[in-house]
Amino acid sequence: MLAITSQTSPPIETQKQPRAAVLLLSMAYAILVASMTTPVMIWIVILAACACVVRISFYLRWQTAPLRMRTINLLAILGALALAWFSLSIGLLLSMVNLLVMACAFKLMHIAHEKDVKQLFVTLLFLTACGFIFQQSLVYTGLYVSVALILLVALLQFNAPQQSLKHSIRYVAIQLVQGLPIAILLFLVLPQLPPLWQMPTAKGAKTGLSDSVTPGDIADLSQSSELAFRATFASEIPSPPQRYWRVMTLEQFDGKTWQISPTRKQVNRQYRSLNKQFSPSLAGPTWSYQVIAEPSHQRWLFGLDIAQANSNGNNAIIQGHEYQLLAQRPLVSALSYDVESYYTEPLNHTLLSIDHRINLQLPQSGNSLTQRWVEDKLAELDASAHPRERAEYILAQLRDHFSQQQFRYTLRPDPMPSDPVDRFMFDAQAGFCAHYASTLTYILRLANIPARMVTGYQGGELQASGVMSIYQYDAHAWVEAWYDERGWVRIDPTAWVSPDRIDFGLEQAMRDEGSFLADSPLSLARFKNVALFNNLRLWFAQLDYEWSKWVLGFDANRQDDLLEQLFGRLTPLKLSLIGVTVVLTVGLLLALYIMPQLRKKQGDKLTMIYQKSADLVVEFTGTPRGHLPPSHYFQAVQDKLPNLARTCFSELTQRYQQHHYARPSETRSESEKQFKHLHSKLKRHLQKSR
Amino acid sequence: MNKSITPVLDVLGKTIIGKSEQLKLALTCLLSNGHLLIEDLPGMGKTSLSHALASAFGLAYSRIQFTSDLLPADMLGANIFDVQKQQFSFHPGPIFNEVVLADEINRASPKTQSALLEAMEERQVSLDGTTHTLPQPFFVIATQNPMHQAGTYPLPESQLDRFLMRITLGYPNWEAERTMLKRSGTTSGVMASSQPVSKQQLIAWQQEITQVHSANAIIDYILRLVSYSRESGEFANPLSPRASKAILVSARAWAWLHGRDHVIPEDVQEVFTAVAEHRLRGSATDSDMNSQFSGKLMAAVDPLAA
Repeated sequence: MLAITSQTSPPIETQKQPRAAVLLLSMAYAILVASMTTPVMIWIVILAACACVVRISFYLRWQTAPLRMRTINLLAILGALALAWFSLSIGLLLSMVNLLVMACAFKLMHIAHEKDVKQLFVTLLFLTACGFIFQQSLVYTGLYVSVALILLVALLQFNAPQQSLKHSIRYVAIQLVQGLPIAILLFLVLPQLPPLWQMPTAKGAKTGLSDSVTPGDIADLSQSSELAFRATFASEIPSPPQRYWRVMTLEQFDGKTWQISPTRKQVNRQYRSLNKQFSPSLAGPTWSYQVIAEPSHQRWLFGLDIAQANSNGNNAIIQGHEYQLLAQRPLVSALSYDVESYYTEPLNHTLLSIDHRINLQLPQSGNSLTQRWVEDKLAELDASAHPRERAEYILAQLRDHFSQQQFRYTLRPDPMPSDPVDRFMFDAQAGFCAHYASTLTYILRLANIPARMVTGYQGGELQASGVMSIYQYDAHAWVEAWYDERGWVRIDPTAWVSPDRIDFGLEQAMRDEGSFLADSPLSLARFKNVALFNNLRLWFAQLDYEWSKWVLGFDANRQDDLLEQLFGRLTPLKLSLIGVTVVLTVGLLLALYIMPQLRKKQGDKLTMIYQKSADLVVEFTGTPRGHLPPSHYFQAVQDKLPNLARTCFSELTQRYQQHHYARPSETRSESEKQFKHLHSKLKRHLQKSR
Repeated sequence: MNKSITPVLDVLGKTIIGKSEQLKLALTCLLSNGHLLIEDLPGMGKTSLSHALASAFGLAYSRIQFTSDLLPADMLGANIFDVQKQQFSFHPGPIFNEVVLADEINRASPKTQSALLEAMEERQVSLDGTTHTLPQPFFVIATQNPMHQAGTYPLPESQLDRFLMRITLGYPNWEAERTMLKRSGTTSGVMASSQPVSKQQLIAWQQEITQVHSANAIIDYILRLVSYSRESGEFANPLSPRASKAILVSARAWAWLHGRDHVIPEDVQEVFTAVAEHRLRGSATDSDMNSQFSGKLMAAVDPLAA
């Protein structure tokens, strides 16, 4: 991309028509970069913006002299060094995408030749395809299709500058429509291979819940209206207070941060090595539903307790020993799976000893005020009290404490860098779900009751036809405490202070504070109370759902179903025959279309070779061929050529002339091979004498 | 150069000194059986050239000085009542010659002009219902003075198209004029030199030229040239099919003149200005003597393009 090219023909900056084509290219580039601001680093985005401005100033003739190659090379070297440094932290895939974007920016700054435009076109097309790594939703698909359209129009404008823009757009649109049936056919019929390479999961690309929670550090909980997953209920739909979508169980607390217990990880490793899957025998009424999880680049999946799931894709689902669902591989694309949730079944199917050991862990020091508070409360209680009574007493005391001190639910808590539980209990007295869950879990553990924090999503917006959308802002944290008779029991302390959060969702709970989606002012979800916007939003959510269900969700299994419906039982032979037939048919049709043009080209091979040779001579002598006929051109340059090359080019010119214009009977002896030989001889001589 | 034609060129070269390119073009025009328009100031050798051409091939030569009162009959001839025979008999005018010099053609009235042009195209004269065939070969050399346009009738585009070529002679260079002056006493001697070729030879050559091969690539090149003139919108008077035929015919003659049995793009380019310029320019003749239109057209079309 960044190779230095020598100046031979007038730069494109000075020609009118290519400027329009290049402007179109830079427009497509600008849209692409704008759509990829997350994976592309900010300084590269700025560089891209500069390149576009350079292009615009050429177009409007604010500037006519091309940028100096040396300047661009210097910039490129600096950029490459910076990128190399950053690539250490962002991983291979992101570095490559960044590299492509950066290279395009430099190429855009210096377009001197026809080949530069073509190179840029191909790279931009590749970059458009790269965009789908990060975004696959309907909106982005539409965006990328229009980017591809702009690119094609630009290419057409470049190659046929006499066409009007309107005509070009129509022409490209017609071609696109013509290509559509082929694309659909190939999409439906061709076997869907598993990805050829493992997609490296970059840190920045992960979305969803993080695997550790530090409530004290968060001053302003960032919320996103991005979709987390969708559930389509075939059965009865759970009521809002029942919608606790489990994701992660955090069992290790160091006084500040909750994370997955290392002991638990070790235990799970052992289970895996013994190949012992968690498979409890479950009975009772169920909710059955299908989940389509958005690509999160994580392995965590979603389910209501106790969930049993079957994957519809090639990504297998593992049942965790903490009742959660895990995918075999990180979700790089949407994954759909069927779930049965046994909602009456108690959570007591795991080994008690391990759960006990892990969930009574306490940090060594810190939060002394809370420790003393629990000791005081326990002292009031009979020492021989049943653990259940102890738990209930502590819960009641804490609830009283919350209501007496008028604890508030807020998304903008004060930061609590040290002893966060103490600060929360006796000082700030306001926080969001993680604060409450963290505090309650810690207090229960202090009272010698096994407890753990569970994170996931709570709630979900029900749309028509049993489809529920769960967004990132539905993220939640709650507590599970162990009761000997009932197993793990879900306790949600957030509900004590803000019942609205559980019954009506975050938006209702935050109505007074006004902090719901405060940092994404343009999100349609903010305008739920405007009927038009809300309908629009719901309609669009439905459309997006259909898109993910039918297009993104069209995987190998669905394909098999479809083919089976069409062609009866499938055998591998039949399957491969269908694939081969389709490819051959499409290929044949294209060949029929292209062949006549190809044959015409073939007849003029010698012209092509002559032109190539003439190009070499042009490069060597600096005399453009213009539209001189062969022998005139030879006369024009013969004094500038070294002896051997002159003889060569003279012979080539004569032979070409003889072949091309003389009576056919005398030309049969002329073979392409001799021509090629002469061409390479000329090339050698020219290179030698350079 | 074709060996058989070199003696002719040598003889012409002795008469018109230092104008070998124009001589070759004029000869090409004669060989392709077309008519020639010479545009130049007085005294540049227009008459000498036409006279030399006629005498080189031993052709009957006449000269008509066009004036505003010249009538078609003065040129074509008339039926005159013969008192003795008691009937009309045709008296052929000066046009019934093999080489006709129509001097200052733009001074005659349009009526006379068109009579001449009709005769040029049809190669016959119709008078009172009788058709009189003109001699074969028949070669008209018309001249016009581009500078002094007062009281003239410029040839319309449709009639310019009838001339296969238009050439200008221009001033001779220093050396050529010096040679001419030194020889000025013996001019008549050169003119009277022996006749190198016969009329039959000329007709045979004309036949030979129609056999010169023009490959598809050449035809396509000519087609690209004319269609560019029609489609680009840069030319007020695009080239007609007659023009494309003229280009091919004269390129063939040019190729034959240079001893080749096939046409190459160089031939097309070398005759192109002479053949196409006056057609592209139209009747706007004033002062514009260069080759700007045809040059633009040739620069825009690549002879090699597939």
